[in-house]
Amino acid sequence: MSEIDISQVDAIIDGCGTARSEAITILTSIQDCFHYLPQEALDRVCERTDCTPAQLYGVATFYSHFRLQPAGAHRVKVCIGTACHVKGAGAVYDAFRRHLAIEGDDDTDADRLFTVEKVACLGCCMLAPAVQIDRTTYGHVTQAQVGGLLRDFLAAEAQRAKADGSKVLRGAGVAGEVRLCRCTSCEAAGAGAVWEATHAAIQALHLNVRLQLVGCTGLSFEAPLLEVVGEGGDAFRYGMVRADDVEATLLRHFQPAGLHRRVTTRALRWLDRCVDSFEEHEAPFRYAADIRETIASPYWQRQDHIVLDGAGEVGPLDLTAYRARGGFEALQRCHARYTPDEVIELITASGLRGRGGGGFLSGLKWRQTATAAEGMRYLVCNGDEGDPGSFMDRMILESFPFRVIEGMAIAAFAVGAGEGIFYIRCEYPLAVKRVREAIQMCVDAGLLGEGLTLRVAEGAGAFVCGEETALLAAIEGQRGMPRIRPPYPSEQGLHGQPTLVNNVETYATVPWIVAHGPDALRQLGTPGSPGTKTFALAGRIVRGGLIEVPMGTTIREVVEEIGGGVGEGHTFKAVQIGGPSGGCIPARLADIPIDFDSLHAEGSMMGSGGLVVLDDSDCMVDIARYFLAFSQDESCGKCTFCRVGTRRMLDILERLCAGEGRAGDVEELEKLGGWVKAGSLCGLGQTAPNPVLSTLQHFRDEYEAHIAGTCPAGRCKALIRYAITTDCIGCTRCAQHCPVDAIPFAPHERHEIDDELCIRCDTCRQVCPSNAVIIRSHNPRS
Amino acid sequence: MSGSIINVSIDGRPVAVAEGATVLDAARELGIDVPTMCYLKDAKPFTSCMVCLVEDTASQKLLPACSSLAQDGMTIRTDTAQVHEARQRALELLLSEHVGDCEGPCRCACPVHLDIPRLLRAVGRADWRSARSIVDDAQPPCVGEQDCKAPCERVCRRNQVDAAVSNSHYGSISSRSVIPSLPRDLLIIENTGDLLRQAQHRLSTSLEMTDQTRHECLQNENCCAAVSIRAVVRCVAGLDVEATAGPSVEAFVRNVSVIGKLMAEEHPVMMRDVSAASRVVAVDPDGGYAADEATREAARCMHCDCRKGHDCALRDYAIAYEADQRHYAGGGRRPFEQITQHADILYEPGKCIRCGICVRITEREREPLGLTFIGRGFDVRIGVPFEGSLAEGLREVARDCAEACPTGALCVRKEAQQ
Ligand SMILES: Cc1cc2nc3c(=O)[nH]c(=O)nc-3n(C[C@H](O)[C@H](O)[C@H](O)COP(=O)(O)O)c2cc1C
Ligand code: SF4
Ligand code: SF4
Ligand code: SF4
Ligand code: SF4
Ligand code: SF4
Ligand code: SF4
Ligand code: FES
Ligand code: FES
Ligand code: FES
Repeated sequence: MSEIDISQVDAIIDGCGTARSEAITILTSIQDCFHYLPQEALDRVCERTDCTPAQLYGVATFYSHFRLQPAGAHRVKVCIGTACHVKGAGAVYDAFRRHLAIEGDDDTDADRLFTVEKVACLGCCMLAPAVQIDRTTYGHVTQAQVGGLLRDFLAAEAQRAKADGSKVLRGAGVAGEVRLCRCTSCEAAGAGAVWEATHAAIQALHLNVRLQLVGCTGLSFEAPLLEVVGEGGDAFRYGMVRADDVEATLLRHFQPAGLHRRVTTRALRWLDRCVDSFEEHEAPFRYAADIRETIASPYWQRQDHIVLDGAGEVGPLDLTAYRARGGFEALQRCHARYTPDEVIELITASGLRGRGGGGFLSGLKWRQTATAAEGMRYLVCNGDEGDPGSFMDRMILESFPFRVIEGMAIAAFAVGAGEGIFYIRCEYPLAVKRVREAIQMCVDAGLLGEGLTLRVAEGAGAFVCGEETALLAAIEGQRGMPRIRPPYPSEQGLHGQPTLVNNVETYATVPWIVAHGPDALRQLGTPGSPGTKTFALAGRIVRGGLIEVPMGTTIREVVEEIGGGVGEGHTFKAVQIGGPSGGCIPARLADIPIDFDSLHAEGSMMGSGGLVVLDDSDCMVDIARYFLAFSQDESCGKCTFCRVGTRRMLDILERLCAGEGRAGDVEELEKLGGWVKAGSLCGLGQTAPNPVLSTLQHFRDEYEAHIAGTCPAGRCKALIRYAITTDCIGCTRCAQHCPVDAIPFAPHERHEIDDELCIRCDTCRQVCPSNAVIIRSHNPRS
Repeated sequence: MSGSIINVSIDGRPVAVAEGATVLDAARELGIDVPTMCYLKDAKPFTSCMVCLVEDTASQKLLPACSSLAQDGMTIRTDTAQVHEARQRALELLLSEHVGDCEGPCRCACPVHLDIPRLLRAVGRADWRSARSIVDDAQPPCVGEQDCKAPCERVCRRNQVDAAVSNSHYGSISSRSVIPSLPRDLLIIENTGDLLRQAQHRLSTSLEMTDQTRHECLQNENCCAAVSIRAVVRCVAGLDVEATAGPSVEAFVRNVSVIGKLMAEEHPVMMRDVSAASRVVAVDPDGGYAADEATREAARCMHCDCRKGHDCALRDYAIAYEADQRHYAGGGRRPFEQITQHADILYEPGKCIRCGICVRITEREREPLGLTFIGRGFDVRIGVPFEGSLAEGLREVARDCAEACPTGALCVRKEAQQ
């Protein structure tokens, strides 16, 4: 391997410090610099810091973000999170590998340009399947697009250097405003290009219009969403906008300074095309922003916004706007009027329960931390959000960083903490960046109060680090292995000191409680679970996105009214709530209210709030296998029941999906699942069997069917065959798209599939214009 | 607050312990035995093996005794069916990925359970007193009787390794593994008087050999790849040395045996540090080997047994809890590995339960390089940082680690002289 420039490593160490606890920060910086962890760099770190070789190597091999082998110039991360999984991410991953001719254990192409990896969730679930290349995210990726996407990335890469920095046009007498969210999801849906186009159009047309960056609207199913506020203050929203549409859209609302002929013709051209090429590009949805009376109305009616207050209106880093809406008043009120004890009382009285999954009473936790031993106290904001299928915390951090900071500051005041740490997963670069900036702005404005410092620690790719003791180990620069509780972090946390660990959303709710009083929270939600909860609604649903509803809203209301139900021609089968620790709740129980206790009673869990909708085309055994595989892969490997037990459960599930199930497998799975729950050390192992046990409870017949050799939903590859019916019109599209040439080219004739070659990737079925490709059950036993 | 006394009850017996004590401490106070594997005295608990599970009566939940803090008013049971089964399952899960046999096939086949691999090691280092003790220890002592058909040699693993190079008919026997057809958990033998008959019966029914091949095999002693055990035994038995009594044969030999037929890639692993020579031909064919011949022949043994067979928590608990190693098998076994880079100790990763004891010892004793966990999840393993050699990793505390390791994963190479 080529020599590396050791002075870069030295600079990193100088920047990060030499304490043992900086190990992960140092490694992250080294990896950012060299794209992997060169041995010379690691040796240098051992030499110059307090980190030991055992610690560094242990850490470097624990977190999936780190790699010890050189990577390609760009890293392609294919999301295989829940939402992406159900939308065919596995095939997209395979397609990238095929396209780049990557084989075997390798993950990088021969030119060492792209390294293809799987990631758990990119937090853009409603745009599934999602793919991230370096820091650019792409949504709705299909197998057929893979080649074009890579080309697009390289082209954009070449241009990136030229991009100018003046993003916001301001000027006197603005006639109107154009608002656009550029959070990760919107970017993935193409918001970047729309932004550039809008910017260009405003300049080209000399419009007297301000381009405003705003936080998430929640309407992610329509991203990118352009909101145009005209002179009179009337607002219109345009969903699924493309860069090409922008100019014409603006022209509908604003008069150009001088109406150039060129512009007019361009607009006309656009209108023409819109009519002509309807097939290629559906015109954007558009409707007045007073949407309570328009199509998305149910999407909003059911919602109540506490943590999402200001969604789509306020710029994420617009401190003035946040304060104009009452931001930081709650904190000031605490400082001015309450004792720390009274603040804790307030939170206790509100009945707030932690939003990180367990639903522990926040007031009680605050009290425990406040009354623990004397000395330094810490505050941690858990933004690890590793649940593959949820993105609420990402959106809150990206869009409302001030709200979380204010909640943290209030908590710090209440429990007497001197340092607060945001632990944010590294898959959320934008959240990290915005929170850092927001902290700096608060510090500059002198808002945090005396004796509180806030900082961000980045995760390095480990789901288990969402578990609080593992998270603390990670902040201390160690392998993220949980430890037994008690002692709880509130007694002995970071560096052995009392530490308050709360979830992002928990903190984000706090200012509202202080501002509106504890009773106001209890007016929302249920007696046992007061307040609201955000959910990431994704999967087989018409309108996916970030929603915030009062606790106690039923599953049916969420799926059918807010989400608009499953796609046409399909039936709603189940929801998976709470990700890998939660469970499936079948459609027939859709009327149960969503709150901590009702879900628990059904063998599911609130988890962090991922809500993935499944329909009749989803195989429950496959879903169970998917989640278990996730947990098994993310197990820290410490305790026997989780480390080996989940592996043995997965052995059985893999057998079932491969059509090799044996009599007794289902019973063994159930028993072993029970032992893994009972005998595991931390929440990961204790909940990992939930998806299996809950699907076993509600869909046992599907398990039995797999043992008998059929997959009722037609998903498990070993148990199906693709075939082409007489509906085939001989258009050759399937033949063109089949990645393995399993369909001979036969223009105008009925096509046929070669079973031997077919890898059951589903492409042909997706591209066939006449629905001639069907899936047949294939029983390997008969 | 600290220094206060905590009252708990275990199996119905009350006990008072100091604050900060664990349930395990309390149980030990009462003399109640709780199995532990990852527990390391005076170190922070790691809570990994989960064989120490006990039941909290109030919540019915299982708690790891080694690291659960005793809390006032707690009532614990260590003797319920749930506890027994939980421990059994934990052990079975650990065994499901275990790669290693407690005993070599030769000893399992021997009607008198002569500890052949250990004998051969003693002979190999010309430690005749130890060798003699081991021979005397077998009951009744094996004297390499002519009428014993040497089943030890027939099942000897060396057959599997050398068979590849042998063009003799022996290949046909060794290519079908005789070992897996042995009852896996060899009988619990209590009545030594019946020993020989039982064993002979067992062999005649379980070895899938026709009389013809067996006959041929015995006729062709010299072309056989197996270690020539009988001749070595004769040599040792004939020596005039005064032996001190060795450790007596375990009351029973229950074997954790998973290796069975060697995979091709395992041959070089097994043959590392082993003489590649073919069988030593005795100058005097009837009287057994001369001492130097015996030593040379002993060097051909691959030591299929586990060096910790007599001192392994996993094996002991597996027997005590009747853990069935096949319960969760089915994932296929990983290849047998042996790390021989260290002069004093051996590391056999397939026997490691990831208890972290060795890691904690190297950390505590400030071993410069030490050991660490590598990777995570099911595939997490113990190794030297940056894949350095074991000799570099364990400079100071190799023996401490080997002694503290609850299984045969880390073990001392050279056995003590007797
Ligand atoms: C495997 C595992 C993953 C977790 N992931 C998260 C997470 O991503 N975010 C989070 O806030 N809490 C997560 N938790 C819960 C935390 O351990 C902890 O309970 C929570 O952060 C406490 O905050 P709360 O009281 O505000 O909910 C996870 C727990 C487990 C066992
Ligand atoms: S339950 Fe799993 S993740 Fe948790 S400590 Fe055990 S092995 Fe690690
Ligand atoms: S024939 Fe098979 S491999 Fe080809 S596109 Fe269809 S499903 Fe995929
Ligand atoms: S480590 Fe223990 S259980 Fe494993 S082979 Fe050795 S003695 Fe037997
Ligand atoms: S020769 Fe000796 S060691 Fe071999 S089987 Fe017979 S009695 Fe046992
Ligand atoms: S190689 Fe040695 S230990 Fe292995 S079976 Fe043969 S004699 Fe026994
Ligand atoms: S080598 Fe031994 S002490 Fe070390 S982790 Fe493995 S089993 Fe434990
Ligand atoms: S972005 Fe793929 S599941 Fe979340
Ligand atoms: S509006 Fe951007 S994702 Fe919410
Ligand atoms: S001894 Fe308690 S978990 Fe291992």
